[in-house]
Amino acid sequence: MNTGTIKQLLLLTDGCSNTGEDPAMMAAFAKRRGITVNVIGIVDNGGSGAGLSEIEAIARAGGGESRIVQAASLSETVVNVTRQAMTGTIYSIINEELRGILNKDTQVEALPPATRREIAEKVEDISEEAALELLVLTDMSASMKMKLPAVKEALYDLSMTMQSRMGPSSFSLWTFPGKYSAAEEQIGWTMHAGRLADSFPQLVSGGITPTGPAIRQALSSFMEMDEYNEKSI
Amino acid sequence: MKSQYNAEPGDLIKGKWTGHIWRIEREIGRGANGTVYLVTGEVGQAALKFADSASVASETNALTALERVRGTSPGPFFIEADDVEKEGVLYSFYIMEYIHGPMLHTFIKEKREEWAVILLIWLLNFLEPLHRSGSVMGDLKPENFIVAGKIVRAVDVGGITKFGRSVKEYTALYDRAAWQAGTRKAEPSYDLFGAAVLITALVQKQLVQTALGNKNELAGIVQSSRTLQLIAPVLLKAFNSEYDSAFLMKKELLLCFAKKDTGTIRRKKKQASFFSKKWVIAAGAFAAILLLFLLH
Repeated sequence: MNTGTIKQLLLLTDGCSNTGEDPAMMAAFAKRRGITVNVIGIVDNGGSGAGLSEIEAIARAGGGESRIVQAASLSETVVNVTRQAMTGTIYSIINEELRGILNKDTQVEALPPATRREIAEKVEDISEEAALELLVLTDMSASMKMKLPAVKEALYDLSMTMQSRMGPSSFSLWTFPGKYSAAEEQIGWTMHAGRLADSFPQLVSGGITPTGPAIRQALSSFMEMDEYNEKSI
Repeated sequence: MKSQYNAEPGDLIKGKWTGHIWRIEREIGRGANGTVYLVTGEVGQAALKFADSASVASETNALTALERVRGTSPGPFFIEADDVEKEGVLYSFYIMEYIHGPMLHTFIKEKREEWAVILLIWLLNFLEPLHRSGSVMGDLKPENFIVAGKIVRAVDVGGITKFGRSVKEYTALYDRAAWQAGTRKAEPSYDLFGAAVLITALVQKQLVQTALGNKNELAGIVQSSRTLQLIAPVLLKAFNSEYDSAFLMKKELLLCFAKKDTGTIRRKKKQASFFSKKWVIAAGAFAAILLLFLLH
């Protein structure tokens, strides 16, 4: 069985975007291209209301998961969100298939618990063995300064889980705002998860938060990868 | 994220598929992916866990896998999975055996710290058949285990993972990767590392917490406690992922403990001429007999 590739963009940010197009719109665009957008909002204490609703909106539009956490519990959240979003992607494919076979409104939840258990086992197998492309997009605006060590640690933790996966995984790290554009690539696609944390820059880059444009630019990297894959076949 | 079902004591939960009715007694646990309640139904007392439908499905799979391990399940017996509808929203839950007893950390609080060694033996007894079935426990935090009589049983199976995969759920303090001491791959040595840290933390929680991430400090912590010193060689080997079998680790633990024990008795024999110390030998011998009995 061809298990396909799970594509995820993980956005780590601490607040509201303040320039460029609506990030939720860009997330919806990503979803249409088969890329799930997950968002983790890192807050100090409570966080501002506007920032929180934007975080949820981006994840909802991008078909992914969202969490609001304090820097201290970032590590486990990053791993859990990535994992849940992977099974979420597989479940949404199964739901689509079910609707094709049964009727419009059918979802896995409509099946009896015993059948769901069989599906859960298959879903776990697939999410463990499927190829994964994970792009981490990190907000490096000035307010993130105190949170960067936690981000680095979380990326290390994520790489530990990813290295223990059975399926092939590739990773890429982008940060925003970039020096000359909305976002810039820090690490191009690599199979070495460890590089995410090793080469994580510890310097913040500026005041503006162009979340929407940053998502758009980062997405281009998935497209380039697709072209590359097609060429290599 | 879907909203959780918030149940109050006295609420009646009627299963959509089975029609069974469960009465909520009280909340007994709350985790990242669900809430557990003590309930009564036709079968008597049971534990009910609300979680999202995917977690319910995968956790009930883990529970039934545990039951296949041997006659008496090292985890709670799985009873049934169901859904309940409230205001048009479906909530998934499952029912399992309610295991009564103290969790590992509450158990040790009421006992002398030497009991940590016994707990490690019981924990290895728990892990051995689980590993034989091809899975690891994954999340080795003390809250996940209950001392029921003379055995340790798991009450949360969310971390149970098949060999060769990446561990599903873990707690940083007991996680090999977080200590930079190895991978997060599901293999026996992952659990045995976690078990060794768990036991060390039962005795020296503060020290272990501050050392997290620095594997080399673990050896020092072991030396700081008389109890842990007794079994230091075994703990250190586990920290280095040198055990790939719970049985072997248990065997070496028993040998190591027995050696240390007779050592102290012999020393005490020499001092026996000082008659006032006589009762010490008696107490020591009694303790040794008691230990052997317990280990058995």
